[in-house]
Amino acid sequence: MEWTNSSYIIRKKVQQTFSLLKYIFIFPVVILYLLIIYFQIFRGQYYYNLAEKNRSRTFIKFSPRGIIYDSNGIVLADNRAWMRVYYYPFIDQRITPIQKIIEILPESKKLLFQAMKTQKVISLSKNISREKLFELLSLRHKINGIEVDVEYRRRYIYDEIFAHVIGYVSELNQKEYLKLKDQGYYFNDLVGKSGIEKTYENYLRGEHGALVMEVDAHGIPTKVLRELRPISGNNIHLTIDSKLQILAHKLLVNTQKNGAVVGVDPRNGAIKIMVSCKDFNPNTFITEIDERRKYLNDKNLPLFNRCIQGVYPPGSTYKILATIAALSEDRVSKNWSVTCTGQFKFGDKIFKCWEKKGHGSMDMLNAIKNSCNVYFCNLALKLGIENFEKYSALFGFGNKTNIDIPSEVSGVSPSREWKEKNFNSPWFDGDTINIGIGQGYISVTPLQLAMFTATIANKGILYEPFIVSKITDQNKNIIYKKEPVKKNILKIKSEIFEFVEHSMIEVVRSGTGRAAFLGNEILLAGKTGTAQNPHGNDHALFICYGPIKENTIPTLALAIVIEHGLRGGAVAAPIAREIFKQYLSPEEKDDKDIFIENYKSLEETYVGD
Amino acid sequence: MSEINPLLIKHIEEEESFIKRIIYKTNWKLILSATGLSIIGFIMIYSATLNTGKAEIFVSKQLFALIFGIILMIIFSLLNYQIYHAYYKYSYILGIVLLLIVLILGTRFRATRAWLDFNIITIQPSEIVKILFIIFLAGYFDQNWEKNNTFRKILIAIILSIITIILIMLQPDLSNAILYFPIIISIFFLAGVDKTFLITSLLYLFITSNLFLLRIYFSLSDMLLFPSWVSKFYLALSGSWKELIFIISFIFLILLIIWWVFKNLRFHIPNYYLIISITLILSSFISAIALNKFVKPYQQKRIIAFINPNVAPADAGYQVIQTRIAIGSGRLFGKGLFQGTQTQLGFVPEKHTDFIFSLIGEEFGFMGTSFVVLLFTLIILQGINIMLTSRDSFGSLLACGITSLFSFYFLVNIGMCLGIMPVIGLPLPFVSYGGSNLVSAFISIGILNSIHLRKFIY
Repeated sequence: MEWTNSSYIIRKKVQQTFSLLKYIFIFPVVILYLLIIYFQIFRGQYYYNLAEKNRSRTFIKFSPRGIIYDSNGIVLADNRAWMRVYYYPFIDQRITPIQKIIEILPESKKLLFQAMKTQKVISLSKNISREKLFELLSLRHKINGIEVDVEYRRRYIYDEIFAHVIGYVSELNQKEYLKLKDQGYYFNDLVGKSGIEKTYENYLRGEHGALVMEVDAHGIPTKVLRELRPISGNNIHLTIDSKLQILAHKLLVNTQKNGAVVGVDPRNGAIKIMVSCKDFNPNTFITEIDERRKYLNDKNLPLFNRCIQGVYPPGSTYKILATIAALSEDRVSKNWSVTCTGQFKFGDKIFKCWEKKGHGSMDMLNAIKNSCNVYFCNLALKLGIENFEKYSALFGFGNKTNIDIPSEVSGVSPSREWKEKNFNSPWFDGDTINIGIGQGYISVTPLQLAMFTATIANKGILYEPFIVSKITDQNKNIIYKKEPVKKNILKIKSEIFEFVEHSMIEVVRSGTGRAAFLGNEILLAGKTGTAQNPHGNDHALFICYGPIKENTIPTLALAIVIEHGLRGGAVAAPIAREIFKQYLSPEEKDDKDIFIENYKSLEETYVGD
Repeated sequence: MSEINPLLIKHIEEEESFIKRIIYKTNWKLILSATGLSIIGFIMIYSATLNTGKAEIFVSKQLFALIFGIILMIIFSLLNYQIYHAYYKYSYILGIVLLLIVLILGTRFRATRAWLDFNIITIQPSEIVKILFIIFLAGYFDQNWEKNNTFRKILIAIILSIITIILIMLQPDLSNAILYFPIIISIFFLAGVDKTFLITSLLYLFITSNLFLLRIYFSLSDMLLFPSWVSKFYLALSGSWKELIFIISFIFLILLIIWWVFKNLRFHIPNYYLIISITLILSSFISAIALNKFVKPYQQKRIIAFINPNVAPADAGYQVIQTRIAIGSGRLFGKGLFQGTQTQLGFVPEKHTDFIFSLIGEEFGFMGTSFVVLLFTLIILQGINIMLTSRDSFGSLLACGITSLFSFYFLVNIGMCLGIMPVIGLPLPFVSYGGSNLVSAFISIGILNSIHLRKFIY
């Protein structure tokens, strides 16, 4: 029908329809164009950012932690390459590759099925053994979607020997991550949890690098967008002498008891030995959670650093302090003597001497040599608690030593006020007598005891102990060097120290510490101790220093505590002897079996406090 | 001049030569827009398939279709459109036959039997059937224009349309079936079919699609765990007779009450309104149930993703989100050719076919999308113009059907790429990869130009 031939009515109606249809056709175009303007112009940046987020994935390149050396440059902790295996489930939808992976890595079964469901990349195994890795890679042509990535993780070469000194690192948990993420930590990053690893975390950790990759919709990397190389952490040099440490550890383990050995250089306060048993293997903290739980549930408290966290009564070793206090306060002279009948009665309390028959009449030298309790009970009464308090503080007891390892405790140096505050009862003279023989309220850490010994060895300088001598960067530039800090210079006459040293030498030569005797050429000064405690057998203690030569300061001061070891002279002193033997003739090879034989014979031979 | 077939030059105005006649009178805006869009599509298909390593194959196939399409466009421009008028019945029969052949001999691809495989090329006959259907409907209504509003004529048109739609649904090709609704409605509208009827049918479509969506929406709801109205409704829509009768009789009851109230309030409501509404609801329910049976699970997923993209972000909902990010991230000037990250890295699927607009949006930004929208607007405006200035009513109806088709394609495809429409899977004409679609689009342009060449001069 030609429009020209059509009737007026039809044409009129059609014209109306036309004008309406025009708008109907053009309306969607306008609406959509407005939407395009909105999405591309007004929301463009938002969607651009979303697209950028979609396509780029950051792969963190963990920086290797700084290496830890001992004083002789021996590596104690380094890093090793860990193979992390990633599986991309969307590359191959078949079930066969998964079955093959499960055959090789049965523990990853659950993860794999989960990955198949979510279609996201998973890390198959945090660390994979070399054999299994090669097995997987040999199947690579059959299994699509396996990728291997290398990352550096901590390795402690000597396992548990340096456990308490170096500490350990472990992966951040969710809570810690939220706290630390502003400081550049990533999820499943490693962080130092104890020891040097914790104190020097900021030096050790370095800076993580990042590899920003462009990934496709399946998460498969296509190209590198940005790369930031990781910067390794700084290296730490310890003052620890690893040979002595290993020996001390071996000796302590051989006693099959818990205990601590601390060795200090009296010339500057550098820690040369720090062993605490029972200990743990820090390598396990990186991977095995079960192992960690085992340590936490262990009754022997392997995570507990006895050197700085264990508090013990000092026992007879405290008699040295009583001697110094009495002499420098002029309460008695060296020649003041007391007759030991085997016991000392004070009120209704009886303080027994370890020699039941009694030592008879003895002066100060003999009292120290034989560790006579009765003599020192009398001396304590003459001194009074105020002097004990004063001299304890001078030698650093009751205060933290400020060593650069975290979680140190201060121990207790009691006073009248202290008892008032904690027990709500007044101080009795009986308490003072107890203190005089190193029992009762007083408690010290092995480190404090070692520092005390070092102070006697260097004739009156109390140093701040330290364990890190210097920190160097990758180019071996020293960025931190520890200068010895003299915490306290004691104003005590040198004759007193000489007398004390003389009597301590006598202890080793012919007194209770005979087990540490190394012959007349090498002079050692020591004092045994046996600390009663309510938990069981007495703790065995021994402090000593040496070698003693004319006009030189001794170079090693030791404090040894063996929990429930019964007698310091029999259990702790032989350890000191072996350490000094090794220390003074470092070329001599230590034969473990011979040593153990010697050690056992010593234990039988020597009896004494 | 006389040796030229009168069919070709009939009604084209006198000029010195035949060639000059054609060149001066051709609607160049229309043809250049269409060709421009295909060239953009050509580049974008190369960009989209670059990563597959088979870009040359895709591009050469498209180039072949483009050349073939342009040749057909020229032929159809020259051919006087009025000759179709005589064969409109055969056009319909040809369409039905083609659809039946596809159903019997067609090749399955993605669970849809819509392709005829001739080894060298594969043809999608439903693309041609669209044009045949427009010709049929235009011819049918052009016959006895005065009777266009009679019940008999409308009923026959509807039945014949439904047969075509059902045959396409049997493939099943939901997206192509949906295309027929804008064609039918716009041609009916132009042909002067009563408004009540049109509104009723629009309501029918609206209620059907809503019931259909409602069922999918309920299928996600946890209210199904307990017997409730929702679960009854869900069962009724899923085809359970007991619940269906219950629900429908409930609705009838309400309708009766409303009708009775209005009657008593002395409103003038014709009685057939009640009958119409009852039929409407009944047929809506039945077609919604039928629709449920036709829709494939993957299509259902797409619809779920449209309702709530977070339900299925892994696949279907993912598309809705990613395609919008792709377009938006292009910003003003785009990321540059081959530089689109969303599309090139596979975040946007089907980037060479249905989602090619996302690729344009990402790589050429607002400039690119504006250009495409501009060209499409030109085509639609020229379509309207041709509809208005056609020599006869048949030309107007043809132009109306074709323009509504392009307008609908544009609306659905770009709406889908913007994430504001469900992913129906309609290509963007001229731009998307797909030979049959491109050829059919160029034939449509040829027909439009043929109408324009012979336009009515005042």
